[in-house]
Amino acid sequence: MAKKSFRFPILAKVIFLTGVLTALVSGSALVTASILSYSRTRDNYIQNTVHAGETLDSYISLSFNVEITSSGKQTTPMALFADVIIPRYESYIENPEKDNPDVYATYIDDLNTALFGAGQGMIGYSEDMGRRNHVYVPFITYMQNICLDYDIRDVYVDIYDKERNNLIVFANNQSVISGDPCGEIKAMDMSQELFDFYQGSAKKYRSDTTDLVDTYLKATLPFAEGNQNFYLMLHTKKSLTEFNEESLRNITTQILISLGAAIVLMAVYAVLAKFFIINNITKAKSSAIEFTESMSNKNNLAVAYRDVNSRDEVGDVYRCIIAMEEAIVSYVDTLAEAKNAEAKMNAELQVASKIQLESLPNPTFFYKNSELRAYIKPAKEVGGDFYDYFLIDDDHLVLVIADVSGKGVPASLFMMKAKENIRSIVSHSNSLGDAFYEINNILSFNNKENYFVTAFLAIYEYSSHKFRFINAGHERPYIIKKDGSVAHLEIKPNFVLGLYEDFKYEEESITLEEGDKIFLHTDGLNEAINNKQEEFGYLRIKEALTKGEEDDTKLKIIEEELAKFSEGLEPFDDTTMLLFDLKVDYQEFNYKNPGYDVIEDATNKINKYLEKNKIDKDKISKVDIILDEVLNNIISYSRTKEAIKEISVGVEIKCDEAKLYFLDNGHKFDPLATTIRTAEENIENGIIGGLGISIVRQISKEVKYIYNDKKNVLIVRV
Amino acid sequence: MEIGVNHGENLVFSIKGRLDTVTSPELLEAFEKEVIAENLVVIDFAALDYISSAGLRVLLTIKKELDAKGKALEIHNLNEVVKEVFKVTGFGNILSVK
Repeated sequence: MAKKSFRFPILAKVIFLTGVLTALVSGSALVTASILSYSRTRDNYIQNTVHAGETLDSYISLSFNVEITSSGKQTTPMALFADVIIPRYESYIENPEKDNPDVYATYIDDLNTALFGAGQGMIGYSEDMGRRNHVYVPFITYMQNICLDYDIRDVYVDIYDKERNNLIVFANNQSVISGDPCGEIKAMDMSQELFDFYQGSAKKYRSDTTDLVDTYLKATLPFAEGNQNFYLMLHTKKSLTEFNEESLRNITTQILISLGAAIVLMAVYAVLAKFFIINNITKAKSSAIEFTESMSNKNNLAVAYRDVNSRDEVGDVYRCIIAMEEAIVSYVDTLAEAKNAEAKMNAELQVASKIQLESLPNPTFFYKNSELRAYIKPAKEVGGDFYDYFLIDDDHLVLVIADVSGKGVPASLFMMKAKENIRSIVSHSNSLGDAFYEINNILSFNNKENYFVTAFLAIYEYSSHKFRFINAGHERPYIIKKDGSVAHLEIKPNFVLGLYEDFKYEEESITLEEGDKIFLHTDGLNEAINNKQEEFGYLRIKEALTKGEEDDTKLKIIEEELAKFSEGLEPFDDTTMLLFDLKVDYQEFNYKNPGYDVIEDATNKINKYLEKNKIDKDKISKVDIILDEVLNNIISYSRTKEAIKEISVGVEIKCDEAKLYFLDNGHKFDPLATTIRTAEENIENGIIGGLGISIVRQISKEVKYIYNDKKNVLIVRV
Repeated sequence: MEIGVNHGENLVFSIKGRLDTVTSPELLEAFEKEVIAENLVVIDFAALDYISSAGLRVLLTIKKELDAKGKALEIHNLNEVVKEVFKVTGFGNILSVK
């Protein structure tokens, strides 16, 4: 199975690219944001701390029993508180009895009353400190609310005694739990940073501190100016976990916003890309695909137009594809037309070829003691060779063989012209020389392309055995004698027909004997070549003519030799052969309107002839049986169909064999078409049709049937 | 063609000449004219030149008629040609030949 190669579509590329860019941008934004958000969160926290202080300030100014002494100082309510606390603290701390619980209690009570009013708050007792506390609960509750509002863990206000290193508690949202009343004094250890802060060299102070519960941030704000030895401070604490969570929430929000932006961007790019570019590409692609598919069905071949109008490279590609499709359609149409025309031409050539071959006379001809066999094989559909024969009267047979220069349609047209002229002129001419003179002039006239024809024509006179002939540049005939010897007939070539007007042609003649055969051929035979460019040649023809007993066999042998020689090469020229045979020892008896009495007459005559020629008795009996069966068949068959007008019975003696020829001009009927039956079949079928022919086939050496020239011809060799 | 008829222990028909289309009907006619008392009919072909299919058919007819009567048929003295015809047609298998 083929590996599917990885495809990276444009859309994917666009999305990927956008994603990468957005990721880069978002990444840096994220980093920035996270830094910013941390500081923002922290600033938020500081802000909240400041706001908490302001809120506290306003609450105090609204809620408490503080006399604002008009000392001309611009000061905050918290500072006024400090003015209340500090003197009382100082007097307590200088009191040598300060360790006395009662002294402490008095100090606390006094201070709280001064600040919050008498009887306010909760009076509690702190066990581990052994002292009495005042916890002003509403104030504490308020502090707690501030924490909730400003998202901080703790808020407290205290005063730092720089001299004595003491911290005085003022207010604390955890007072209920820790039990620190207002005025409570704690020893203080100061870190350097805190000291710097108190010194005023740092505006804000922040530290990360851990207690048992949590890590928290601490912010400290200076709350009031004034007394140089006492610092009033507001502290807030914020849980670091909460702080980090808040930061994270901010960052997360940032990330989500970036992501959202990225997705939106990618979607927008994708849509734009699809709409403006990819759609058109897809359309161009689908056009090509549809067209290619329609190519498999030639009838449906059509250009696949699409709606692509963009004036850019994609539009160009589409237009190129369409142009190519149109060109292909046009080309295919042209091809189809050409093929049609060619097919038509071929069909017509086939018909012409058929007409031409059908215009030639039958390839087999039996007349008196002569037998004529013809063979023609055109190289192309229509050829330039022809043969012809016809009886001028019942004593004269004309033979023609001819070869027109060239092949194909022009040659065949010229061939028809030559053939018809030869026929008509020779029929009415005494001299062959005159006939050819006239024919030559006719063919030469208006022959601008200089077509010509070679021809050999002969007239055989049966009564005298005279063989007159005339040659016009054609191949010489062979003559085969009774003893089987083969030789060329040396004859005058004269000149071809159709090229040179007023040429004087001369005829010649010889006398033939019984047993002579004349072999005529065209140069397609001797000039046929094989793969080694060798010619078939006269020697091979002569060689082949020595073989074969029967005439049709002789022609078949030459055909086979030729096929073997050419080794499958297509012939480049027409090949025609004509074999004219005069039978030896031939007798023929003709009967018109025959009845059954013909059988007796023919039998008697033939018996006489055979006896005269010393044929043995058994053979004669066989001949008689054959005569009886065949003639019976012919005559009785004719009774059922049309009456037969003529029967010829011929007998030829050849090498101690008797060869019988039966010719009748009745309805076409091949007696050999019935099969040989066994005796059992014979008996079963009662009186049998075909028994006679069955006997004939089995007692004879060979039986052949031809339908020739409107005659049934049966040949039996005994 | 000449037909000789001889009654005796067997009925003997002697044929001289040929049995072909023309002459075969004569044999059949001669046969049917006879009243056959004997149990065996013999046709002697000693003087027969040859036989054609027409003759074979007549022999077949004669055989069938004799079979119906429960009588036998034999053919004697076939020459070479006639023997060959009997062989190739298979008639030698249905007719008794001696």
